[in-house]
Amino acid sequence: MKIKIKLFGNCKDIFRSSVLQINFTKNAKVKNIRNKLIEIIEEKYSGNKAYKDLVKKSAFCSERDEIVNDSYVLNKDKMISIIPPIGGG
Amino acid sequence: MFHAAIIDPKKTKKIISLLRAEKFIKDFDAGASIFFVGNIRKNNNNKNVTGVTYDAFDRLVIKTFKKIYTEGIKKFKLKKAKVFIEHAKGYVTLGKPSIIIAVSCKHRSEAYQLSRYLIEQIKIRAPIWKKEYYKNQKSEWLKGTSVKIR
Repeated sequence: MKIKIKLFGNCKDIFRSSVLQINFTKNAKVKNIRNKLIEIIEEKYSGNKAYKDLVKKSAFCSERDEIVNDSYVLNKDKMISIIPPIGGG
Repeated sequence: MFHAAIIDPKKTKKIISLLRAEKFIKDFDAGASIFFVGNIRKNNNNKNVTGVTYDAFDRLVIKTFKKIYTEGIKKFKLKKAKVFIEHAKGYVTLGKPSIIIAVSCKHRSEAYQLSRYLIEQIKIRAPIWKKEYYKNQKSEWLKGTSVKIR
């Protein structure tokens, strides 16, 4: 199943896009998505620690606009958003 | 009454506005009005800031603002309060406002309390990110706070 990952803030710069589209096996969990993003950083940036830490510290948001944890299963979701540490105002 | 918006001048062709805020919260039953304006300041962590680019998850930001407002009304047991919140998106230059929070309540103590509660919660809960630009041509995304599941 193809999952779109919506990116914000620093993640847009790291992945050089505002949306990533990645193939996952059925019933992928948030944990799988987080690991995949870390894998991409390993490949593209020789495992840049700051970037990996950013993904590790990020939250994820479902299509229903709810913050979900690593065990959340993307059954019907076709998109998930990664929410890096925030700081507005 | 509540108003919240993310203002991206590129899309909305308007900027966040104190005049709009004042008009919205005007209430003859309210004895107190508080206006909080967050501006881009010149110095942060010993770096000369020239401007900030804000990114935002607009839909979730509005939902979060509304939730924080509802919590504040409940927390301070307010029967009547008007709240106006607008946050900038995109590039904001030095000295310009990034956020306006305007509150009108019956009494000053509750207006101060609610206004303070709103900004402090927004800082740690609203999905907004900022990238600072410096005089030496460099730029960086600020570290921020991890979002918690509530």
